[in-house]
Amino acid sequence: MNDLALEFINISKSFPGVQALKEVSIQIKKADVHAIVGENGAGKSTLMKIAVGELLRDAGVIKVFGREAQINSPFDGYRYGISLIHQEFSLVPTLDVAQNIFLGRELTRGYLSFMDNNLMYKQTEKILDSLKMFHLDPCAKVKDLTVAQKQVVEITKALSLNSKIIIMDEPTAALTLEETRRLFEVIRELKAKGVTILFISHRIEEIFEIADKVSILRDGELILTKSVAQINRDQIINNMVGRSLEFIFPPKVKKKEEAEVILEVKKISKERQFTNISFQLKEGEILGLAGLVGAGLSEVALSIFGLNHLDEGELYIKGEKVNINSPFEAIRYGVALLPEDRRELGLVIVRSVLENLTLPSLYWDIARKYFIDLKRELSLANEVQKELSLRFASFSQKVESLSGGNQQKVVVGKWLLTKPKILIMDEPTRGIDVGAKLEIYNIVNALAQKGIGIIFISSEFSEILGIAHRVLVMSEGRITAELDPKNSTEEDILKFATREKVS
Amino acid sequence: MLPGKRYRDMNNFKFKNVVRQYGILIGLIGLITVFSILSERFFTLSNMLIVMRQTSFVAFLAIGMSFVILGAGIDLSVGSVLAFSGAVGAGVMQNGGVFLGILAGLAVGAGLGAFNGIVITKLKIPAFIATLAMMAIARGGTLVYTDGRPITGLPSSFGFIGRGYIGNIPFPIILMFIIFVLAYIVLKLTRFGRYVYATGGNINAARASGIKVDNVIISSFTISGFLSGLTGIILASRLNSAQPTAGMGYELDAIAAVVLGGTSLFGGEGELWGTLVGAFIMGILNNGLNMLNVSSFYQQVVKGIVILIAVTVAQSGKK
Repeated sequence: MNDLALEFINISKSFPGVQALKEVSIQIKKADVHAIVGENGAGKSTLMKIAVGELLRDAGVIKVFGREAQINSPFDGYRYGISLIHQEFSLVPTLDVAQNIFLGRELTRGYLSFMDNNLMYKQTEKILDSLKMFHLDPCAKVKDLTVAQKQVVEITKALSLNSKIIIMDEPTAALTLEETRRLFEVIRELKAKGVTILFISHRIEEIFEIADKVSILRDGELILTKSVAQINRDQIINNMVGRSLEFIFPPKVKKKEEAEVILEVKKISKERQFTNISFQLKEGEILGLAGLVGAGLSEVALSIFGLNHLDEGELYIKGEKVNINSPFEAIRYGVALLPEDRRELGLVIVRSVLENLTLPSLYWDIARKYFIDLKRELSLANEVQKELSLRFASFSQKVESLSGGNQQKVVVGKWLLTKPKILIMDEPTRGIDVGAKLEIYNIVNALAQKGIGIIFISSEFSEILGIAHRVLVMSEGRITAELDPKNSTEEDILKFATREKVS
Repeated sequence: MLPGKRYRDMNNFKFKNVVRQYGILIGLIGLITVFSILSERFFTLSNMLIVMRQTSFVAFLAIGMSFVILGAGIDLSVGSVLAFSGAVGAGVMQNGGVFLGILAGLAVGAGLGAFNGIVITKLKIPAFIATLAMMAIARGGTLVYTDGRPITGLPSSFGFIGRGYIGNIPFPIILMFIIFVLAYIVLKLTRFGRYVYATGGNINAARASGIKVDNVIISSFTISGFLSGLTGIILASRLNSAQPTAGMGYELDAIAAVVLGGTSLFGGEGELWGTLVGAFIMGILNNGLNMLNVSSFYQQVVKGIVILIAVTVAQSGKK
C-alpha cells in the first residue's frame, strides 16, 4: 500500500446552503497522472483546495505517502510537498521569473542577509533546464510571458519547493493546442521524475492523452475512479452528467409561430476570442448559448452590448443595421446585458437597491430633464420589486448586503426598467442557490412571454436544455452545433462543446 | 436565503450606518463644547461668525472636492487654481471692471478644472498625477502672471464679496450656504448627482449602465475648478488684493474636510453635509487653538492627530 502518494478518506465539506463534498474517498498512486473530472460545481476545485489547506474540510482524513497529514492552513500544503496551480495565477506580474519563484523565501547570504541573486537565478535555471523545454529566461518579467509560460513558472515554483504532488486546476483552459501539447510534455517529464500529478480538466480528450487514472465527481460525490484504459469517452460523459437533476424546470413557454426576427448577428469575429459567429434571435425566443469556460460566449455577449469592439461582422436589430459601440447605444436599441460578473459589471454594490435599479433608466425615463422624478422612480421600483418578488429590508439598503439571488434580481430589475427588446443573460444562475435559480428560470419564461428575445448563456448544460427553445453550442470561439433541446442530451452538448478546432 | 443571515444584514445595515454617519457630528459638538469650557470668548456670536467666515474658504473648495472624491478622483490643484483665478480676475478687473473680472476668474477656474478632467479621461492619466501637474502649472502661471507681486488697487465695490455683510452676517457665509444647498440639490436630486455616485462606486458597472462616465468625471473636475475660482475671487476681495501665494496648502485642508466628513476616498460613498461638518471642524480647530494661544507650530500637529482619530473612528464604525 505504500505506493500511494495521496489519499482522501471520506472528505466532506459544506458551504452555507450547499453540500460541496459528501464523503469523497480517492486514492492517488505515486507518479500517476490522475485526472479529476466533473461538471461545474461538482466539487473538483473544492477538493483540491482542501488538499493544500486553502479550504478546511469539515470531516475526513488526508494521507500523504501513507501517513495521516494535518493539513489545516495554506502553509501546510507546502510542508507536505503539495502544490496547487490555480486557474488564476498567483504570480506578481512586475517581477521576473526567478523573483516570483523565490517570492517570500528569498535566498540570502552573509550576516546582513543580502539577497543572493546569483544563487536564485542559478537554481531557477537549473530547474528550468531539467524540464528541457520552453526556453524561459529566469530574468524575463512575468507580465511579458504567455499563459503557458506562466504555467511553467508556477510548475517551476512548485518544483523548487520540492513538491512531490502537483495539482493543476484546468491548466489547459486558456492554452492553444500547441501550448497544451508542450505542457503535456512537461507533465510526462515530471511523471518520469516521480512527481504525482492531479489534473483537473473539462476536456475529455485530454484525459485519454495524458492521464493514467480518472475520478469522476458529481454533485459533491465520487462516482467512480477507474484506470483510463478501462473506460471510454461516453462512459465518462454519462457519469459526469448523471440523471439526477435535482429540480424540475418550469414548463417552457410556447414560442410564437410567426415571431419577428429582432436580432441578427452576421459573421462577427474578434481576434483570439471568436470567429464567424452568426445567428438570429426572434421575439419571445429563448436562445441557449452553451459552451465551456473559455469558449468565447461572454465575449460575444459583450460585443452585442457594445463593450467589446468587433473586428468584423454586422449586427441587425429589427432588420436595421446598427453600430453599437457603447452600452449607451445598446440601451438605445433595446439591448440589455446581465453580465457574468455581476459585482464587477452589473452592480454598484456600495449604493442602494433603489439607485441600482433605476441607474440605466434615469436618462431615458425617470430623469429626462436633469431632475429625478422621485415619485416616478419609487413607483417604478415598486413595480419591479413586485414583478420579480425582490426581497430586501428597504430600498435604501446597500446592494452588497443582499444575497446572491436577490442581487441578480436587482440586475434583472434594472434592465426591465429600460424596457429591453433583447436581454442577454450571461451565466445568470452562477453562484446562487437552488431556490433562487428556479425563480430566475420563472422570470426568464415570463419575460419571453412578454415578447423579449433572450440569449441565455450557460456552461451548465442541464439548465440550457431545461430553459431554451434552441441551443447553439460554441467551442474555441466557433459555433459547432445548433441543437433542438427536445431531442438532445447533455452528452450531445458536451460532445460539441469539447470539439477541437476543425480547421 | 438563510434567515439568520438576513437578520444579521438588516441589523448591520442600521447600526453601523448610524455610527458612521453621525459620529462626525458628535465630534463637532464635542469640539465646540471643549473649546467653550476652555475659553469663554469662544462660543459667542461674533466669534462663531468669524469661524464661519474662515471656514467658508475651505468649505467652497471642499464642496467641489466632494464631487471629485465621490467620483473616485482627487484634485490636488485647487489651491493653485484658486490663486491663478484670483490673479486673473484681479488683473482683468483693473481695466475691465468688477463684473468682467469676476467672470474671468470663474472662467479660468472652470477651464482649468475641465482641463484636468479631460487629461484624466482622454489621456488616461491618474487624477493624482494629472492634478499634481496642474498644481505646479497653475501656481507657476500665477507667478508669471503677477510677476510674483500682489495685484492691488482693486475697485472698492469689489470689496463686498469678501468683506461685506447682509444684515449682521458676512456675505461669504451666506454664499457658502447657497453653494452648499445648490450642490446638495445637484448631488441628491439630479441625474448627474446619481451618476457621480455610481461612477465613483463602480466605474465599469456605471459604464455598462449606459452612463457616459468620461463626461461625469470631466464635469466633476469642472465643478471643483469653478469653486476654486470662486474661492480665489472671494479671497482676493477679502484681502483687497490677489496674492500670488494665495491658497497654498488649501488642497490638503479641503481633502481633510471631505475625508473627515466620512466620504470614502475610494469613491461612491459619502454625504455632502459631512463635508460641511468636516470643514467646520477644521475651522474650529484653527480658531479654538488660536484662542488658547497654542503656537501655530503645535496647531499643525493637533490637526493631523485629529484627522487620524476621526478617520479611525469612522472606519471602526464601518466594520
